Amino acid sequence: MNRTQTEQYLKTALSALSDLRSEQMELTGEVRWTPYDYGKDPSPDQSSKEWESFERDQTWGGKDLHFCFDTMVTTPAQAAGKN
Amino acid sequence: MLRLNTGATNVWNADNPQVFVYLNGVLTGTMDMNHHELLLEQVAQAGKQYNVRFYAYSNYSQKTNFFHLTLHAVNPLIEAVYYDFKVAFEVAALLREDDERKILLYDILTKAALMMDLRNGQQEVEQSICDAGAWLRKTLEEHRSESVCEVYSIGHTHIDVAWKWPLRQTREKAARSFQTVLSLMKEYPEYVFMSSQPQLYQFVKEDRPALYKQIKERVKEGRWETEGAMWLGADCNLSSGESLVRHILHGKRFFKQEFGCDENLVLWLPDVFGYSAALPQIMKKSGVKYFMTTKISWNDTNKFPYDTVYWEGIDGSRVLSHFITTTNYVPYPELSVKRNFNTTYNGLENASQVMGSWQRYQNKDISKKVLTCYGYGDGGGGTTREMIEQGKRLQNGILNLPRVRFSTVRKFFEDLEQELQNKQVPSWYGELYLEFHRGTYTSMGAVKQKNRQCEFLLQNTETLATLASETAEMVYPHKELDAAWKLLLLNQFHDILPGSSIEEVYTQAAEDYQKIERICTELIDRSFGALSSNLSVKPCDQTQADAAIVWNPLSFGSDLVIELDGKKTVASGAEFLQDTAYGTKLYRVQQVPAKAARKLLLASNTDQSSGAGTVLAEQEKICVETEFYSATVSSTGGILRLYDKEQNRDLFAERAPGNCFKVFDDRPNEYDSWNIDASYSLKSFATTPVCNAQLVEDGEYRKVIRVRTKYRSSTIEQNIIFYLHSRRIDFETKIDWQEHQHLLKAEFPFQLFSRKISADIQFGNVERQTHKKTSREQAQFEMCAHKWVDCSENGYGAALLNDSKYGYSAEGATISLTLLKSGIYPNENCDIGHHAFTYSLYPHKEDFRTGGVVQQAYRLNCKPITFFAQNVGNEDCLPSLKLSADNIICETIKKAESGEGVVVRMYECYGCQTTLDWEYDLGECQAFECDLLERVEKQLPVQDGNISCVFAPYEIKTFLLKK
Ligand SMILES: [Zn+2]
Repeated sequence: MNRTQTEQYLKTALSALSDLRSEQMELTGEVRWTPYDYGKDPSPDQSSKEWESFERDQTWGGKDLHFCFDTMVTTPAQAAGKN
Repeated sequence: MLRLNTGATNVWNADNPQVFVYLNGVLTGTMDMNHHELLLEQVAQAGKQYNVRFYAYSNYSQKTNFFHLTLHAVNPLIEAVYYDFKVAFEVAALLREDDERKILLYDILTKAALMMDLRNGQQEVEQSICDAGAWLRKTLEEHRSESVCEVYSIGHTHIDVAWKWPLRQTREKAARSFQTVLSLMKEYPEYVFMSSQPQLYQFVKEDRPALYKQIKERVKEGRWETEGAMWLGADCNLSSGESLVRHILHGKRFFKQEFGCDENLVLWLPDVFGYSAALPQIMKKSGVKYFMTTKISWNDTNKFPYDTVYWEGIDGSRVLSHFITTTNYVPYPELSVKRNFNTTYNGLENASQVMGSWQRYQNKDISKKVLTCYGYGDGGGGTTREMIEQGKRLQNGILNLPRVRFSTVRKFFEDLEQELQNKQVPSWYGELYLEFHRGTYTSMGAVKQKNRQCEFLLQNTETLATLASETAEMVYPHKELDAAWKLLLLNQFHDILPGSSIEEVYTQAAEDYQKIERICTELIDRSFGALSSNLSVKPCDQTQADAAIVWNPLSFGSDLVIELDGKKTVASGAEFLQDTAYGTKLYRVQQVPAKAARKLLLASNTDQSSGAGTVLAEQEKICVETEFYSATVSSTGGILRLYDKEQNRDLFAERAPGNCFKVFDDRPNEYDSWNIDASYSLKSFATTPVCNAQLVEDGEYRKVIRVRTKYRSSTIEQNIIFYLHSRRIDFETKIDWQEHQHLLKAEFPFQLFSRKISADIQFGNVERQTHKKTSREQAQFEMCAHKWVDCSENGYGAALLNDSKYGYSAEGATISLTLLKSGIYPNENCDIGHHAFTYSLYPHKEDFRTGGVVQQAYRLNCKPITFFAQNVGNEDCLPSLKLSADNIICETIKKAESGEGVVVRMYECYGCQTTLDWEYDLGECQAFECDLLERVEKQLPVQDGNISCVFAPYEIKTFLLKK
């Protein structure tokens, strides 16, 4: 192998290692969303219009704005013992 | 582990979405585009449930973020090998093709890769990778040799206290970034983090006490370094000398009191837009030994020639300075097309930047140590797991390449100082001028004006409160004054005072300045109230008053001119000068000693006639005669002629008038409100007169010519004031500015033989060349000065004074005062609207010293304070300050921070050694000389109240008087 081919081989190995670092698990909980503001303790109203809009567009953002997302995560059996 | 993808991967760190994460109601971590992973548990337990709440902030104008959350199980063994492999590979890839180390590393890595079974889903995978990893580590260890240098590495995040977000968001940014640090520290015992800016800790202390408590624990363990010396990263061009002192006083005190840590030794200002030549002395006299910035590498013209240097201030004080050299490694610098010498305080702690830090270092001959701080910053964020993982591999060392050492900043400087012993360390005299953000001396005129006014107001308030507590029954208002000072210091942050924040930040700043003014006005009233028995007066409403106390805030005796509304006249104590065009009356109180007061007796004014609003003459040009000048003023305000009768010469040439308004198209290539590009001066536009020049006052004290001129939709109105018996000419200016991206200057092309100017800075002055021979001089086409600049030839000169401006340009003997800069980014309305300020022309004999420029500039900036009362006796005496030398200025008289004694601070302003005899009559006192933090250094003899001492050129001295 020449230098470029070696480099390419090592890059591929690194990329494979990167992928093997972790395994994606199923996320069971639903994500719920509501807009927030400074000074508020996040305790979202889960049936807000904003949530409906998020469900529709799946986007959020804007200048100097807050949002709150809630979900429930359960550790799957096959993740046990790992990070 | 949870991973969050918001889609905002190409958004700059300052704008990206940032998230607090609560696990089962407890703040556990943070996420943003650089921290998109959250570890739920070090060792996952099957079936364990988490209620996860993400409290997210967006500062990106488009609503384009999404929220894709995924759950992952991470194999820590494979991850460790991944980083071993990654770092060694990145190092090798950076080396030159002919470097034997590259060949060796590629060979080792290829062998390691061949040992791994990388087929996903195979049982053998984990074992083969672990075996290969062990072999890789062992082999690298065998080939390791002594490293060429050590790269001291400290975790860090730069948080702008306000900028593209308001202060209320900074409070969250600080909490988020600090939480990130705490989470990382749990995972990585070797992680060391440093954050300066006590103001941020104060926010966290107020908002999130539980988080603050954890920080304290980490500080105690020595893993969290609270260094930096100042209250926050203050602008060092514009803040006054006393403000800089207070930054260090409050900064050091906070860290010591809150965290019990050793005294701060490092002035840490990575991102400030130029460093005044007064700083080394301020640092030295505050016990700050070391200085660090990276910003000086942002010069657009000249690469700063040193990275390790003794920086020497105007007075000769030297501080060891090291400039972070973090930048990407370039394998073939000789082939680089772009000249780029920028370095960063937002380091990544990867192979390229660790190697680049050493490659970019210019003082390899004297030190084998460089510093890098790593972590995303500007809008906070900080270190990532990846950075620490990489740092750990680079800490082990690869071959003989630069080796990381996790360290504190203080340890770096102490080791550097040690290493420099007996070495020829270069030195740099004078300011560290940043050849880049030259517009920050001018942008947002309003905030600069309020800053200047409040700096003086706070000092005057302190002096009066000291008098009231020392000679009367007032309790010194330490708390109120601290609160007011801290508001001032907050707004001196390096994106607020320089004018480079969004509009909302300035709305808040205006409220803060009002608060400072309210506190000071109330304290001044309270102080005069307490002093009223000393002055034989009784406080009362102004309308009931039959006396006025006029206090001289200057540090030299002076005639004081006061202005009373038409309802009162002065019966005794002051001489009537003139009715003004605004219906007020001017009086002169003769020779009031420094910091002393004079009582005037008032009477009701029965003669209500006034010349208010009367125009006495109206012409295209108006001629004025005074004791000193024959002058002609045009309808645009230009001084067509200024013939100096004493000197028999004209200050301006024919067709080159003084006070000529010039408007420039100002559209810098980048950093709109920050920068002025050199090309601005290629083309200028004139203003046009709205009407004839008007003579509106023609008295025995002063003559006032009013001019109105316009540029497009903007108007400028000036009252040009000639005093019959003073050399000073004032330009009271009101502007309604409506033009975006313009620069407005007032030009004075003096007929003087001079190729340099002197410029006022904190606690002294500097000389600047106006003949641009070298590229360094050419790059200084816009300069910063405080209250005055002076252009003098042998025997004669002229100064421009101002009450709120900081930007100047000078070419030969032509000086221009920069009045406005109306950029559109990040504040689209910068400098749009009303402005009112005064600048003055002051021609004089000799140079700025003999010519009395310093004193005139103080007179313009520091007006007498008047207190109305009812007279009940003859006493009118407050202690005065007696100084035997004109060149010693005293701005500060305050109660000692300890509460015991009075602190008096003075400085020498002519650059010459001076023996001073002085006294301040507060009764019998012991006198001590202190450092700037009021720590006693030695006792001074006091003879009949007189203290004698010797000032070195430009020396600042702090005295403590104790009863
Ligand atoms: Zn900054």
